Amino acid sequence: MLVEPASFRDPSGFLFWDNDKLYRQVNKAYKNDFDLLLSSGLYKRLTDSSLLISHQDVTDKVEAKSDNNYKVIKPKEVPFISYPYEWSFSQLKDAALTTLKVQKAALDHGMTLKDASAYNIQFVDGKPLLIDTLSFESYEAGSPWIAYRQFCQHFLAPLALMSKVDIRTQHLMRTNIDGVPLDLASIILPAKTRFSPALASHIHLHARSQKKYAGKAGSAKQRPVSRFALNGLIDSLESSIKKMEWKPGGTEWGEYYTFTNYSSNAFKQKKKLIEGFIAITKPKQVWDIGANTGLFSRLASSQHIQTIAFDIDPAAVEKNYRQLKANNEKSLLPLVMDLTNPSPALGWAHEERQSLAGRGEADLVMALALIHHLVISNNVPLERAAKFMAQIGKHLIIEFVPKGDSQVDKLLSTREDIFPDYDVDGFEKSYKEHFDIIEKVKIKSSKRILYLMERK
Amino acid sequence: MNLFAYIDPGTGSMIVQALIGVFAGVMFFSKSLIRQGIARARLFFSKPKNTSTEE
Repeated sequence: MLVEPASFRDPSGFLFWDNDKLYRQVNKAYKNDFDLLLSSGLYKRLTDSSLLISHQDVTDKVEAKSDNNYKVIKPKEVPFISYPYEWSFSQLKDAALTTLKVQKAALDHGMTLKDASAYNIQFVDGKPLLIDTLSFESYEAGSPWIAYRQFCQHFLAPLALMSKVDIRTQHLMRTNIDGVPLDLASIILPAKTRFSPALASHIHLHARSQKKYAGKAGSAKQRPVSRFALNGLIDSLESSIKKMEWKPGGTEWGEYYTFTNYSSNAFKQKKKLIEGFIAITKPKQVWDIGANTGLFSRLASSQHIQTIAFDIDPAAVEKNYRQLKANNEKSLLPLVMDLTNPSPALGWAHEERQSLAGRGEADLVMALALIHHLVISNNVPLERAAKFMAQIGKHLIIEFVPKGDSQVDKLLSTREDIFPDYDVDGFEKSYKEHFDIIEKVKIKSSKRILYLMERK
Repeated sequence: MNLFAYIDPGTGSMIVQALIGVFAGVMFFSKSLIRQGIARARLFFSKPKNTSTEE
């Protein structure tokens, strides 16, 4: 039995692993609130509308981890844990709106969210879902929303920055474990946001109030917050988030497929080959690294194979997410990931947020039209690229794009060719260190080669 | 206020909520009134719909 290292802040309970299965212990201190969640009908309402993760009560079947145990529950499995600094704009927006929907439902049932962490939301079956069953407590009339500050830091501030300053401000979520500090957001946001009633109050005024009352807990007089005011507060947050927009496009790969190197026949051949390779390897989870808008990822996800579509470009990931939402696709999860600097392990003792490799391994990794970007744009030696791919997956579908291909020549046009080993022989030699080549097929009317490999 | 809050709600965040909440509450209330007003006006001016399933 192993306590999940990311689960330690809330004394209401914690997660633990037993025989590779994840359980949640509910502590005695949380008994009343847990009972109220079920007896008030809130649990049923939220799970029926796919807003909260469902669970089974396994108190009688699984041994508790400690004496202060009230219940042991087994939450529905989340196939892949992702973090807000990996989500596209609309994913973060939908996660925020889900949190507010949950809070509104909770208030209807005499409860309230005691935290509003973006890390409590995960994408399951294509939709954002609250995964922390212990996030609720009974609502006392007149009390303010305890999680208001956290909501503003985890959702409102990053969304406002991404939408009104630059999409890359998303990285602030990676460097601040408890969301973007509001004083920082207030400094960075453009002056015009001071004329937006919602941002002026929830960020600028909020930040000033935090500064004014910092370290003055005892002296400040707390006025009650009526239900009327609380409803208004939540509605104001909700309507300002609904209005926030970010238009993808104009970034690196936005129009990639219009400029690809494939004739339509070669494109069809490539798709067919990949479908065949997927059929051979029968993966349960696929990682498509450098997925762009997920065209090839869908060859796996459309067969109900859990597929994570990583791309460095937030615009491509945004388009991918919008497409899956429009088509109600359930097995695909697009994420923003810079493979040359992938998500690290973060938080206390490096254990609160897992690194990308730590969340592996995948049964099948797809690296299509990627290798030249790693080797030529980023100077990663071929053998180191091979080593990383062996670290994250058992099988590999990889496309080798040699010199002479217009995409590679374009990369080489602005820099000196310091890559004498970058050819088919050099590529195969590096990959054979870690993989056995199962299939090797030349793509028609191009210089590219598609490989299926299995890790040694 | 709940004594078992495990995250720091922040004194400034709690205080400012009372202020923002009042304004936001008034906004929310007026929005709902306007919506209700529009809905009633629509109902009043529109022709009664035939809700029967029998054709």
